[in-house]
Amino acid sequence: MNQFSEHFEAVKKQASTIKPPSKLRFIGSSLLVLVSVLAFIIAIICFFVGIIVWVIQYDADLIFLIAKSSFIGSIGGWIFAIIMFRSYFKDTTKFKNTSILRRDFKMDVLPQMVASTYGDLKYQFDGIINENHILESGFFSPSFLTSLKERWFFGDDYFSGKIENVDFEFCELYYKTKGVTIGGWAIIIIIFTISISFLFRTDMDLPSLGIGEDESFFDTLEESKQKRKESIVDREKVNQKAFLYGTKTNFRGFFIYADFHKSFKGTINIRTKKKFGMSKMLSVSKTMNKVSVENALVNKKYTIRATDAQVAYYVLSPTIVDAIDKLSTRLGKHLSMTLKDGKLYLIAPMNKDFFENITINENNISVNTIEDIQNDLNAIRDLILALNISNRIWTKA
Amino acid sequence: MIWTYNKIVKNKNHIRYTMQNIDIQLKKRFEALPNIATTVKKYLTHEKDVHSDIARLRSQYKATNTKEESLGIEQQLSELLSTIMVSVENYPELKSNESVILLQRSINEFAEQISASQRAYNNAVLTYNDSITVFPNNIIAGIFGFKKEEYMSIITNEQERKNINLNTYL
Repeated sequence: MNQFSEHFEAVKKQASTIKPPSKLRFIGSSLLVLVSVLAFIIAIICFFVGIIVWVIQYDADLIFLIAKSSFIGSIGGWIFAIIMFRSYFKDTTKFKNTSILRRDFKMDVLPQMVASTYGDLKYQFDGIINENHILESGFFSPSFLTSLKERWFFGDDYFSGKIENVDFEFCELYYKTKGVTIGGWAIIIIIFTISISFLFRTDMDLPSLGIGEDESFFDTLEESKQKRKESIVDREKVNQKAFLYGTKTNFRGFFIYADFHKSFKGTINIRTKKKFGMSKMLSVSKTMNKVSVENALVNKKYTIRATDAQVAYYVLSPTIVDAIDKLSTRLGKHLSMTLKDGKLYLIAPMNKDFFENITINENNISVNTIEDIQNDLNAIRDLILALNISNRIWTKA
Repeated sequence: MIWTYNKIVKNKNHIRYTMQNIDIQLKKRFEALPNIATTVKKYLTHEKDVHSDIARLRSQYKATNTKEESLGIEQQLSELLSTIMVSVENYPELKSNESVILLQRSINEFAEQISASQRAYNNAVLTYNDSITVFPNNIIAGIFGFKKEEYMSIITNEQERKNINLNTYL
């Protein structure tokens, strides 16, 4: 692995020159907000005091001048603070998206490491598991509001091939949406309600909303894809949040699609009970039968539903249930699985970015070692082994 | 009260349904195994009685009336099938034979299916027993004479099958 030392040395050299934006900028902006608030309060107080003084027929010019100056100062402070905040967050995002010789690493170094660890395993640095498999898994069924947004997936570090007799595909997956958030819809509804009341009062006709005119009110992912062709697809790996409108990261983690060692027809959904960002996305169909397994910890952490209980118990043998328990200890209880028609789909949200030459921390950039990358690579084999699906002694050929 | 009564009845019916599933799986095994055993008979000449034992147990199973009786027959068949597995272990030349491999796979597959249906049954019993013992359901269950159901011991043990380690030669 010494042939990679040159690359890591070059990365280390560049990393030492990159610093995050100073925290003082954030503190300064916050102080400016505080001063602006104070100035605004002073302006208000002075204004009312000035009125009182003016009413009792004293000279209030000076007080009004202070009120005016404080008000102008406050507005100026607000504008300046917003500019400073925007600049700070822009630089922070830029820092979090830092890449150093990433292309060299992904195109030259990593493929060689993959080849030396796994032989003929296929690797593609910007690849993604077939989108049909992602949708078949049922993890990303959109809610009504989400179906109105632009939605897209993008992948990173795609691996496919066979480990321990198991055919699998693995990638880091990002699921993003762009559109009006729940907060945004709330504001739209409030404005709409006010407008309606206004319209009723003026006896005007209501405008057509367009609902019902178009048969396909629900936007499909395909349509969403067509729409976004015109715009650049956002591949930012940093977690994004939208306030009223914007791009939001709904899922960031890894996705495994593997061939299950038993042949079966039906669907078994194993969903985390932990409520987090994906809770709606991971909601399970209530029409499926609830299944309890013999492992109390698994029952406590997950909701298991299946199209048929017999199939569920056939698939979820005690060995597989124990494997799920072990996996949840290793990956955290947020992992979820779908077992469908002889295939296994597994997702686990992760904040860590795997297979990178650098790790971006809060205050600095640390350069990963060859051992770190090797550990990431070994994790794939460990995962497949932990699933305990390599033992194909059953009817599956 | 009506809602609770209906819920208990539904849970009891679910036990019957899962018991039917066990029966179906057992029947499937009784029907399929003799055919497969016939194909490997020539290789298992040293185990002459196996085929006739399966046939005997099959006819006994058909004549059973109670759950306990049928499960007793099932237990005997499982033990018999285990002896086939052990026999194969003793004759390495059989291990590579495709018909024998098919037999072993089938034995395992049926065992898995039966185990699954038994676990489904036990889960149904758990749900039912819970529904008649929690308050205030226990009062309604008492009025209508609902009694606790017994759990089934899982005969086909996955771990025991794994110990035979068939995959080493599959």
